[in-house]
Amino acid sequence: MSKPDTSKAKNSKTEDKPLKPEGRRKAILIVVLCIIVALFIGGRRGLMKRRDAAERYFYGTNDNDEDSVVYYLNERISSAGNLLIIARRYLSENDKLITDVSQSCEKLEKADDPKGKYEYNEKLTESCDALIGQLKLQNLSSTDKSFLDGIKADMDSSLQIMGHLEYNTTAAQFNALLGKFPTNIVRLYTFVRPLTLFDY
Amino acid sequence: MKKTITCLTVLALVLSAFICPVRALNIKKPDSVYVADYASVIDSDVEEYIIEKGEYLCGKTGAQICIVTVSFLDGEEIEDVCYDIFNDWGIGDKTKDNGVLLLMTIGEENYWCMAGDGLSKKPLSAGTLQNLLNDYLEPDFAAADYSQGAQRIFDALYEELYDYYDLSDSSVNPPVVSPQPSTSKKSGGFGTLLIIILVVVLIVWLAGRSSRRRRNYGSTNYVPLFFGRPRTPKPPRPRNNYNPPRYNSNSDNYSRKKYDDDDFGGGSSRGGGAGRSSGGSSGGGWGGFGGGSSGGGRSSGGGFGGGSSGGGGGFGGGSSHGGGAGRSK
Repeated sequence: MSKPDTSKAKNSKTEDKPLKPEGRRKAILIVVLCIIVALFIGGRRGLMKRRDAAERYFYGTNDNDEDSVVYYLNERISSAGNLLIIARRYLSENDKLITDVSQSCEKLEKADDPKGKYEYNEKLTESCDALIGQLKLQNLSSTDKSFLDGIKADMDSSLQIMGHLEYNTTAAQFNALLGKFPTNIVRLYTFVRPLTLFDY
Repeated sequence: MKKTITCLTVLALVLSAFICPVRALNIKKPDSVYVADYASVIDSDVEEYIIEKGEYLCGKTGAQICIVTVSFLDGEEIEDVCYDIFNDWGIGDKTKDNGVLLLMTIGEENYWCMAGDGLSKKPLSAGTLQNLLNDYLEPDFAAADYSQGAQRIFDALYEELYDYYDLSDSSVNPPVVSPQPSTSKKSGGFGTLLIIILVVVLIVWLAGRSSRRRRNYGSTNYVPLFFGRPRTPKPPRPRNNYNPPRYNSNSDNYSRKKYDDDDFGGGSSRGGGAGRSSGGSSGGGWGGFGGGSSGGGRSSGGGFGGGSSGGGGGFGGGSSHGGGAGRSK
């Protein structure tokens, strides 16, 4: 039995055909695309991992997590609710100040990211301060006056506590990282945003 | 050479502790846990009263009510200063976080009160504290009767904690606890310096010993090449036949009461609290405590050296997340 003629096979192996220019361009393009995609995925994953770690302090492990910012935001919503109960005794239900506080509470509750929560928390503070200012001009009973002072103190206290929570430290560290090279370039093409601080 | 460098480094660190205080506000921990009257506005009998009742409450529950008076805050926010003091001194029991701090800034006509994390929900929420301050401190504070105001608010806070911890099986007027002998403030500073010097000497001695030990090694023995570069052998471990004594909880050494008079409880706080409005700072400085704007009647020197009349107790390590309440704005 004659041996198979492998000379042609050998020759075909040794004689590599050079890539045509179009083929070369395609290859380069594919490599570049792969690099871009890899950079995007890798960079975003890395940054989002850190962002999520900071956000965990924002939301906490459960509704009763006293180390979370959301817990104290909910406390403020509760206090604002109590404030509305007192306010309705002295002002009309349709009073603008009352509706402002109600709407701020609703929007704060519905907001689902730190930036939104911060924005509506500021509006809640503003509207509550305005309402409290108006109520102090009314002829309040001594009980309601002490309630009003207590509610204001509770709301201000929650703000101060939020300023000292771990979330602000980790968020500030994350934001600082985003500002340093080369992360500041990576964040541009991965569309990672800095975190909102609640440092009152 | 290494020994010289070690000595110089340690010396520089020690000196820097004196030249560059770690904390910008330079608030000195008082000897007494319960009253730090740096503004010299609280009468001595009121101080003693507060210390006695405070020691009783601390002995029963670990809770500590601390009243601090200062003249000015040097532009700092009163809430922040209160937060720093609470966490740095560790007011209240470490596990229960049941400390309370009232800070009165006399020159700025302001006050702030903060409770530990264990009390900030109940019984001393910010709202409750605000009402207590409005009822028991504000009238006297506005009339510049700070001593009377301090006593009244202390009594109010004491009653809240008394009821909360249900100490009603004790007599209504708790037995007067004889105050601990006051420690000399002058020796306190010298004692600290002595300890620092001893530490420096110890470090230098250890550095010298270790360098001598290294020089005493003989020729280097090394493991075969494929395990890596030659290395000097470690000194042989001394035989350790030391068996630590087993502590018998029934022994006399451990029959002391749970809350040692020498310790603050270590409580912490997220804040919450009440007080007067901040009303802006009128400037001034910490230097007013020694012999400046508030007079130097009780202080033993510059800064916060004076004030308290002694009495025992130490801070327990409590902390706070801030919050509180102050004078109404």
